[in-house]
Amino acid sequence: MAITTRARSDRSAEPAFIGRVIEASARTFLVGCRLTAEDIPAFGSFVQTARGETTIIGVIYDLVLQGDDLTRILALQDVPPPEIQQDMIENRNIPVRIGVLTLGYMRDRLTYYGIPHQPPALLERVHTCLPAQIQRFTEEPDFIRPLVEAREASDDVLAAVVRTAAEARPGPHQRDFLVQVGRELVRLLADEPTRLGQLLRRIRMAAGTP
Amino acid sequence: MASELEKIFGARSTPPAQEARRLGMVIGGSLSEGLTVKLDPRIAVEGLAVGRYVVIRGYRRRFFGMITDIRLDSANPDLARMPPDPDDPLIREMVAGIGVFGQIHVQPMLVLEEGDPLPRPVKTVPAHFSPVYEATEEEVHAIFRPRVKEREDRYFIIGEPLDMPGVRIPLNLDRFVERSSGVFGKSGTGKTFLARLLLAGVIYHNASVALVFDMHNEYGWSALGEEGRVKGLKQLPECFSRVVIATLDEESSRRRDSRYDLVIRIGYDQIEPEDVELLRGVIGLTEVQIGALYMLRRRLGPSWLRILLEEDRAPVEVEEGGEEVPPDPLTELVERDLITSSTLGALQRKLGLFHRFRFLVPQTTEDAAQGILDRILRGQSVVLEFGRYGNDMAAYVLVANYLTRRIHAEYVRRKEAALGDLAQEPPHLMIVVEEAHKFLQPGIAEHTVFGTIARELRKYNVTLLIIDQRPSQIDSEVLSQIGTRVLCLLDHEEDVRAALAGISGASRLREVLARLETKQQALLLGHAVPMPVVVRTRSYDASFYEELAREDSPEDLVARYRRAMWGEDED
Repeated sequence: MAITTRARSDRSAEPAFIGRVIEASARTFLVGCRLTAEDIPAFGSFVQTARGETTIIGVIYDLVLQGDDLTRILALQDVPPPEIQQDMIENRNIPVRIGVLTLGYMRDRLTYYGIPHQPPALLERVHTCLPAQIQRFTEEPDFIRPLVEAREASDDVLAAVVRTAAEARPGPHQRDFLVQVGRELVRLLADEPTRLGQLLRRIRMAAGTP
Repeated sequence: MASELEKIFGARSTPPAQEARRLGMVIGGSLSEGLTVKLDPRIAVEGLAVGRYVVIRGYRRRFFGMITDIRLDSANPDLARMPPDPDDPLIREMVAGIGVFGQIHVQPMLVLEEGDPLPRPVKTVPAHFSPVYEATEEEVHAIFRPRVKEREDRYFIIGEPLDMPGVRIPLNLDRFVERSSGVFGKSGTGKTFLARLLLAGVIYHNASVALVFDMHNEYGWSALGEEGRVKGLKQLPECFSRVVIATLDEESSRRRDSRYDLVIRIGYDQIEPEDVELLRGVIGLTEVQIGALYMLRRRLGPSWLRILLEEDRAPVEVEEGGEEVPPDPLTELVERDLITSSTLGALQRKLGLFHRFRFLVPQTTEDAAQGILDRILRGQSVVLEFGRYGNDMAAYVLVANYLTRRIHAEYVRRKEAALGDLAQEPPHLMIVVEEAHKFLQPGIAEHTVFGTIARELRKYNVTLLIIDQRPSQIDSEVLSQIGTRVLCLLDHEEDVRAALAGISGASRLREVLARLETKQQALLLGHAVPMPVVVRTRSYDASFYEELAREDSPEDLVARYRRAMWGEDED
């Protein structure tokens, strides 16, 4: 598929197209697409879509790879032929359903955290976010709250989001960013010391060696 | 001079704004209990200390307060109990200041209203989340600078506030002597040093005449300080003619090379039962024995003590008046059942210690009290050295009581006379007593002249400067009358409570008081300072003598004052 190829080749230049909105609610929306296994974006990646003048920003909290008849037939064999398995990974566009949690939106060059006035329209295009966009959106640690409160997203997603946001920054600023996020987490999760401790340790790992 | 000073001090009333360090914000509290301030995450708890000043910036007022306690708190107690990886510096940085944080307790003391340069006692509290800053030098100056124009020379720089080198804290001497004051602190914390410093200020600035009962010979000519010999009050500049050294023990004074001006001798005939009564605690006199003293005085006349003490040593002599005294007046009293022989024996035994006091003589024509009073009325301060008798509490109590009773009586007489003739007004007198609890214990304070002086305040121009290490032993009524307190380290719970009794909001200063350093630190509070202040007292050494020695010309006064207050060079 042409789109997929473009997404792979222009990763750093402009936002890569992922798919289209197939289901939407105020807090989450689903993206449907066909991607090769290599092009499937990772958990915790920032994505964007639009609703009129509003750019809605969210993070990927769930990925479902949907099998088809061929997959089911092959799965019944004792040992699926390796070449078919390899071909499945490298070349076949698998139907993928991506769950996105809305963190906030941007309008008139301003960032707002929380749910937008309206969910994204169905079939609206969904793209990845560029590092500069991620950095701008995560300038304030308020983007953490929807993640902490969301039933859908696990703490693994939260840690992955923080890691992604940290990596979007140049080296020297990563530590400051992590401290800022850590403080916000302490503020939000003071009543859950066990969960907080685990989360901080995971974020700590994102920072590498002290 | 006034205009010049006005120019200077007027200009200083609106000091240039200095960058103050924000400490945190008010999160609770009350006027009586003080305010709770949550520290900002970047403020290191370790860097703060009780006794420091802070300023709370309300909407229209600035509140001045003192840090009285520092504590650690957490948003959730479980978080502190189960800390997430406290060894990891990054995680510690995340948690510190948010999940766990420092709190300070601030006692608000004064308030500066917008557009009013005069600080007022605090009557309200700032709102929630008012920002709290460290007090700047300018703000501390604004609080402590002299209020009364043309009276700057009536202020004496006592030291610097905690952690604010270069800021000088002036003590209002007029207010200091106006009411009785106290210097309290456990032994070895520099009470004598402080008292000498205060007296130097009082005498140098002519705020009052002092009568010092110098138990250990440390005030008059010279004394042995921690860093060698220091000058006594008489050796200070301008003070030579203003200070008279009297001694009870001229041998000791000569040995110490102290230049005494006056030798005190007290005749037995001059001692009244009231003088002896105060010794009840020291030598263990019972009520019956005290009653007997008064009876002896009534029956035997002025020579009662001489008869009592000579009885078993020498044959009875003929009295001055030529009147024949019955051969054995004491036996006669016993025979007439006016006194039992056991009481008489006990009195003779207990008062027998007077024989050891060489300053007590059977007869003298001199009147020691009058001699001292004459000097006081001339405006000279008197330091009475006790020599070797300083270690004898009975001698100290006897002499201090004896002299004070007479001097006070004369002051009362003169002060009343002054109502009709102002020329009779005696100069203000401050009587300095050490081990004051011996004079001011509950139960006896109300009967003694010291208790009277402490209670009647400035009515008769006499006040006390009490120096003591056990304020808890002093009658609470007397303590409550003390205007200015200079408190060195006290750690006995009762003493701390007593030292702070009678001052509103002062109980919160307990932590401050218990954590003073043992040397050169004191908490000043009361009448002579606008708000309690912990000072590092100025040193009493060559630089101090020099500072006093500077000439007293008006121009120089301005320069000296500026230098002292602002640490500036002359320009």
